Formats: sequence, structure tokens, C-alpha cells
Amino acid sequence: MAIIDVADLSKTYGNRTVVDRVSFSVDRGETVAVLGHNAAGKTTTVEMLEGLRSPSSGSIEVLGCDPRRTGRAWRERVAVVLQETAIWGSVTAAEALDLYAGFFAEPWNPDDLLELMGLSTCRDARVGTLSGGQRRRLDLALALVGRPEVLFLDEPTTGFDPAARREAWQFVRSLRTSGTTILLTTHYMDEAEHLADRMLVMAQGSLIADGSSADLARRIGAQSVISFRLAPDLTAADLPRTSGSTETFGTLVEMRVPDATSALSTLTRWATDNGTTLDALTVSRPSLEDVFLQLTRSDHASRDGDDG
Amino acid sequence: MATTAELRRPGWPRLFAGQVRHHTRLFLRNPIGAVFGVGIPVVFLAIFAGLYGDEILVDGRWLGPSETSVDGIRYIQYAVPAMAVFSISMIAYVNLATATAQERGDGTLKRLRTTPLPTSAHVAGRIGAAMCICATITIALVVVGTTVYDFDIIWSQVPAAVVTIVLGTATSAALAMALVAVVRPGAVQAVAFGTLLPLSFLSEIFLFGDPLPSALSAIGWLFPLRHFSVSLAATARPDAAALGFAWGHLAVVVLWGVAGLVIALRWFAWDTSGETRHRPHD
Repeated sequence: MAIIDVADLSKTYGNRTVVDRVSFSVDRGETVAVLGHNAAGKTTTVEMLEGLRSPSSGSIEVLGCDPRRTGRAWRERVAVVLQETAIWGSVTAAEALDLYAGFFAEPWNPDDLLELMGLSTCRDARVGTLSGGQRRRLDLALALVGRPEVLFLDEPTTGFDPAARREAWQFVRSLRTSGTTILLTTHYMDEAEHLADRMLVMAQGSLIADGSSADLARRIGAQSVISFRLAPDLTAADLPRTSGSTETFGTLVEMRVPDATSALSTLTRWATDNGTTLDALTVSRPSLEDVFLQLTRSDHASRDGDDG
Repeated sequence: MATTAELRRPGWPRLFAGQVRHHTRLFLRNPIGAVFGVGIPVVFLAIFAGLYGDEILVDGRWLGPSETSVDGIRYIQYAVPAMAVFSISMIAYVNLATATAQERGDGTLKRLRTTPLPTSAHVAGRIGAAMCICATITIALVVVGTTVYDFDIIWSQVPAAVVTIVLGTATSAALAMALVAVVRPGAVQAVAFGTLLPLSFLSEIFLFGDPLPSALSAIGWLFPLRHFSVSLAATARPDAAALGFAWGHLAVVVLWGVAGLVIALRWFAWDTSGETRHRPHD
């Protein structure tokens, strides 16, 4: 059963189209990531789903309701973490959470939730004195205190250090296990991969891809990037053949290969046999940048100059 | 049929009380609001009462030091209500507008908008908190006035004073919300201060030796502050109508409040994008 159903959703400001005929649906218990660069239309889309912005055209149903025509009962089931954390600076973490808990019939115990979010030690600290990451976690706690069925997270970990990001991911995953339907926006490919069952890729207001990371990888021909520096006496022509494309930038070599394991094995054997080294060797998954380049190249070639 | 969650959900009075407590707490933890809303009126009362406390007023003017006559009223009977009016305007107008504009500008209101807290409980709670604070300060001013400066409480006029304070606070709050609705967030505090201070002089909240030139005085009568001030002063005048209700002036105060309310309801938005204006089922 679809918890979120979006059909032909558009948003225009004057003659600027920010969201352009977007359609998708999210099933109960799914975690879906909306992926895109800044100004891709992610936040506008999500804020329309939250009922904070009005669509210019198209339709939205969240839990069977148009978010612009809902009341208290709907808001008890739908929780939101906005892109900007905004909590009164002069109240303590515990006071803020108590206030929000008071809106619901059966909230989480605020102390348990603070502990779960790693905020026990700052329960009596004023919000204004918390770090950005702590404030963000408190913001998430405020959203969760009413045990929502649907959770919107707009760039939940932007500004987190890597450790805090891992913790937040773990937490979001545990929510997923409990059956919460989650729609999050992010511009981190790895975040989407860690958390989401499915990704919606947006560029310039349009939905350019919808599928699991494996689906997307398949669509763009999922190539890993192997890069290294060649010894100065060698050139790309000396390299062994691999099943991908090779580009050189001076001594820097970048190979795009579908199967990193076999390519690496070929390369390292070649290096050992020739008594040379592969300096600064890295293997990386395709970056969001790569995905975009590939997706926009394949999908929008015919629509060049449409916008932006 | 109502679900269990609907039956067990916290009721409006509890949500309202929670909002009153929360916004009172925010006020008490904001030193600037406390200094301007509480400190300044009390200090001004001390200054004015110290200077003129025993002088005699006739029609808002004083005759110079002399014994209290039947026609005249001691200045302190004017100063206590005048400072209460100034204090209420600081809290329910300047402070309420500033705090709301700031929360609107930084997204706090938008965040709150996504929760099940009914708008009515939220807004009423904000105004309720302002009323509690105003009531406390008024009582403090009266206590200081009575104990230090021989302010006379006219008991038969206390009900009129309570009604006047409630109406004046409500009008201040409605005008604050109207201001937030139509002025951009960064300018709200400046506009609120910039309207209250000149009007305080035009409304003779701060009463000095010579009468205002009649043109300035006429301007003062256009705005609600002077009517509020005169209405409240009427509840501390032994020579006023027995119950102390200044109905005509109160009517002007209420009219301004209604105008503010209409503007606020029409143009108030919960965030700066202006798209969070209407939510029909609150």
C-alpha cells in the first residue's frame, strides 16, 4: 500500500520551474532517499509533501490525505526534520523534548529518547550551547517523540562529523526496522546507499531516476574508478588491457571498469612483473557526480537547454 | 468514530497551559525583554514619582506642590497606571512582536507548524504568557506605588482596571501579530520600538511640565496607546465615574485590536516563504 503518492507534481515561482512533473510513490516501511545537488528541487518537493508549500500543479497524497488539507490527526502520524535546525536557544534539551512530547497521546519517554540519541549528558544544557551535531540529533528526537508512521528528513546529517554520521545512520536504520516509512533528502551518495531501499535522483527539478542502488548502477553501467600514478618512464600504452576505459592526466591514470576486482588483479600482477609501482592507488565507487553526469547525459541529451 | 489516540490525546487546555509555561520561560530567560519590560517601568516610576509624586494634576496637568484638593489628583495616581501601560506595551507589543518575528525568521515556527500542536493553542499560549507577565508587572508596580509613594488603590475601580488591562494587552498582542505579518523579520523590532516610543510621548505616558502642542496631542489621540492609557488612568482617579470604566476610550482600543487581528489573520505566515499562510482545518 502506498503511503506517499505523488503524481505529476510541479512547482513554479514566476517563470522559474523548481519542480517539474515529478511522480513517484513510497510503500509502507520503505526508506527512500531523494538524491540531488543543491537547488535540484529536493527540499521544495519534500516541503510540499509536508504541507508547508503548495504545489503549482499535480497531486500529493500522504497517508491518503492531501497535505494541504490535513489536521491534527495527520500531524500526529507524520513527523518532519527540516533542513535548518530551529529550536529555542534558551530552553534545555529536556525541556524542548518535554514540550514536544506533550503534543501526543503516547509519546516516547523523553529521557529514553535522549539516551538513545546520545544526548543524556546534555539533557540540562541550553539548546544554544549545544554543538551543531547535538542540535541536529535533538531535532531528530523532537520529530520521533510522537512515534510517527512517516518521517521526512531533509538532509539529516549535513554538517556531521563522520562518527556522528555513522551513529545517525545506525539510528535511522533501526527506525526502518520498526516499520517507519522514511523519505530523506541527501546529496551524499554513500548516505543514500547506506540507508535507502530506493533512490530518487533529481536534477534541475526533474526526477531523472527511480530505483535501488543496484538498479541505478546497472543503468549507468556501474563503473568503479581506479586511479594511480605511473612511473615517469612509462605511458598508458604500456598498461595491460582491462575491460574499461582509460584516461590519463599527465602521469595520473584513471580507469573506469565494470569489475574492479579483476582489473586490480591484472594491474597489480602487471606492476609486480614489470618491477614498477602504482603510486597513490585508489579504487572508488562512482561518485554522485559520476551518476549525475551519466544519468543526465543519457536521459536529458534531447532536452538540452530546457532549463537552468 | 474517534480512535484511541484521539480520545487519549492531550486536550486544548493542557496544550494551552504548556504553551503559556513555555513562553513565560522564554521571556524570563531573555534578559533584554526582562530589562525593558520590567526594569525600565519600575525605574521610571521611581524617577517620576520621586520628582512629581505629590504634585497635583488637573486634566492631566499639574498645578505644582500643594495639598490634595477635591478637583485635583496626586501625580502618583497617574504615574502607576501610565507605567503599567508602558510595561504592557513593551511586553505584549514590542517583545511579542520581536520574539515571534525572530522565531518566524529562523524557522522555529515552521518547525512547530509540522507538529500536531493546534495553531489556536499556540497563539493563545503566546498571548496568555504575555498577559501573565503583564499582570505580574502591574501588581509589582501597584505594590511599589502603594508602599513607597502612597498610591491609593480605588477598590471599586479594580474590576475596571482588570478589564482595561486585559483589553489593552489583547490589542497590543493583536497589533504585534499584525506587525509580524506585514513587516520583514529583521525590521520588526525596530518598527515596534520606533512606534511605541514616540507614541509614549504623544500619549503623555511620560508626562512633563508643559502640555503637548495641540497638533501633537491630536496625533496621539489617533492611536490606541493614549486611549489605553487614559482608560487605565481612569481606574485610579477618585474623581472618575464610580466604576472607572472609560467606555469610549476602551472602544477605540478594541477597534484597533480588531483591525490588528484582521491584518494578522489575513497576512500572517509561519515562515518567510509566505506559503504557510492557510491551514484550513485547525
